Amino acid sequence: MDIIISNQSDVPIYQQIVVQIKNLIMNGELAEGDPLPSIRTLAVELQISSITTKRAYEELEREGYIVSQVGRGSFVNAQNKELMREKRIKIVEEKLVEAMAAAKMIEMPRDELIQLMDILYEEELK
Amino acid sequence: MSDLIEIKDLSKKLGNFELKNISFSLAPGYVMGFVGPNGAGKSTTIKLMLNLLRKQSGSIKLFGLDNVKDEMEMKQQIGFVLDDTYFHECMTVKQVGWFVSGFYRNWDEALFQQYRKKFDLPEKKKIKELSTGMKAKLSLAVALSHHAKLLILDEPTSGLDPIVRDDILSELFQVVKDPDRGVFFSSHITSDLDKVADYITFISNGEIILSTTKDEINEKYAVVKGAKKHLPEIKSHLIRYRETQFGFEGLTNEAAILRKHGQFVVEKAKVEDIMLYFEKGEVVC
Amino acid sequence: MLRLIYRDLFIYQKRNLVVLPGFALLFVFFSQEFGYAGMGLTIIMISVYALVMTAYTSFAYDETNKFNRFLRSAPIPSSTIILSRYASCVFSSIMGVVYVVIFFALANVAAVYNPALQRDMTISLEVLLVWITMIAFVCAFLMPILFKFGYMKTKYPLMLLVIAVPASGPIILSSPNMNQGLTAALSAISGKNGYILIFILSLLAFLGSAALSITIFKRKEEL
Repeated sequence: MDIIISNQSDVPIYQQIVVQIKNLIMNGELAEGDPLPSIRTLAVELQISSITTKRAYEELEREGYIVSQVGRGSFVNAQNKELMREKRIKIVEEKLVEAMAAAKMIEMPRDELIQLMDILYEEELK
Repeated sequence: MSDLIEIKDLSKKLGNFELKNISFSLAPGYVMGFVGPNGAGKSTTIKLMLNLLRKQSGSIKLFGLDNVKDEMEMKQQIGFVLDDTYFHECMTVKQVGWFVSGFYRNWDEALFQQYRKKFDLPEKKKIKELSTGMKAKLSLAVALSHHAKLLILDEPTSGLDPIVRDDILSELFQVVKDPDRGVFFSSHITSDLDKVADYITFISNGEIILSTTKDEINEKYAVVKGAKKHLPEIKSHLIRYRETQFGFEGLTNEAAILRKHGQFVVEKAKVEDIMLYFEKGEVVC
Repeated sequence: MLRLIYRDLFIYQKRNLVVLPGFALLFVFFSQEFGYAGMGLTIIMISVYALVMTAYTSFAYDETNKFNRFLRSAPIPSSTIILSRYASCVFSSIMGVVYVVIFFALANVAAVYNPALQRDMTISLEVLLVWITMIAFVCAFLMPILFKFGYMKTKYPLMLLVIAVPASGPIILSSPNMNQGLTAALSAISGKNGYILIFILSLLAFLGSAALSITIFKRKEEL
């Protein structure tokens, strides 16, 4: 399991960990019931504060991705794949709504917005 | 479980220097870095904790024990690294271990040997034959070999090369793998603190300026740079600032707000930045 | 405590392990001048010398190495720290005495070949008493001063003492007036009661001084 954090990034470190572990769960590298490294081991290995890793795990637990048991550690939660995908779709929906609102503000027509999307996708592929 | 360190309103006057109402605490399982410029009061605070100096007011409790009333019991659980040369230079590594072992109930000879080998300290070598880095490692090995709950270190890495520093910091980090133990160390080498500290307490001129988690420093605090014309509007968000020929720069603890502005360069604050701005920046009235 | 004593005697004074017997030998040679109380006075001389040297060296090294910082930060009661210093000095004196006795014995053995080497090895109870008293009072006087002012400030007066006493001791004590005075003093307090009184006074001085030193040490701040 690889977790790579950047000290230079403006994204808080705990957030980086949350995102990476979420992805690992989403694409199946971490299966249901798999144990996660302990808060302290993760901290020592990544050379970051255990307060940070604790926060990351708390967030993951809050969002239902993992489950922690006192004395036993943290484990990947039973993921209802459908439910998770739905959650993620909802986030995409929210972002799209935001983009639509921003486009409306400068009176950008729908086609132009879709065109912009295509360009961005193409750029990413490069 | 009680805090490892609980200091409240500690005050002490030493000649011209005065420690004023120092308060901070450290829970078990974490590393606290104690940072400040030279002469800020770091060593004085540590000496007060160990009862090398007598406090004039306030309370110092380590492991919930009063540091004067329960002095001996408290000291049994502390591993300390102060000056690295308190032993006679003709003593060998083995003799140092033997010597210290007589004073601590929980001395673990096997553990001392482990550290000795890990740090590459030959038994028969005399202290005068050890390099500065090795002397520091010996002091650390001794401090770590009696299952101390709290490690107190006064500038453990000054004068050491980056490799030895890294070795020592890694060891300190390992200590807090045990959630019942903790580390308190003072330093003015801020990059070390960036690496290893969970909590950071800033002291300057005998006063505590800030005591918080490193995370908060990295997330909420930031160095802001921008054009001079924008200074008046965001002054209220800055803690300290500095005007240069080509703009201004300042320290803020409202990084998110200033990032949203979009007009400024907002960079994660490092421990060093906080120290510099508090010492040299202008106060916002 | 043992470790502290060991440190004072063997680690700090490796060189002195050679110097001490050296001085012992020296005193043994000069013991001819002491007259009838030769052995006794030699023992007293070496004891005082050893005591002062041990105290002086230990305090000097402790100060140079800032060893007190370690002692005060470690779980060692002040009483242990102080008493170990007193004990080191006493043991050092005893070591000196042992050397002197050995050299006297050797001299007497060698006297078979060279009668000039013959030394009188008698020790009277009075001398023993004086020995105890000297050790007790020198410690009682010296230690609190060293604890209070440290080695640096008392270095020169002490060095003077170390040179002056062995040098002048024999001269003063072998003068007929002093001998008479000493004999008179000793006979004044002779008899079991007198001896016991002196012994108790010495003990009190020794212990009182230790208590004083502990107070001084506790009051001091380690800057």
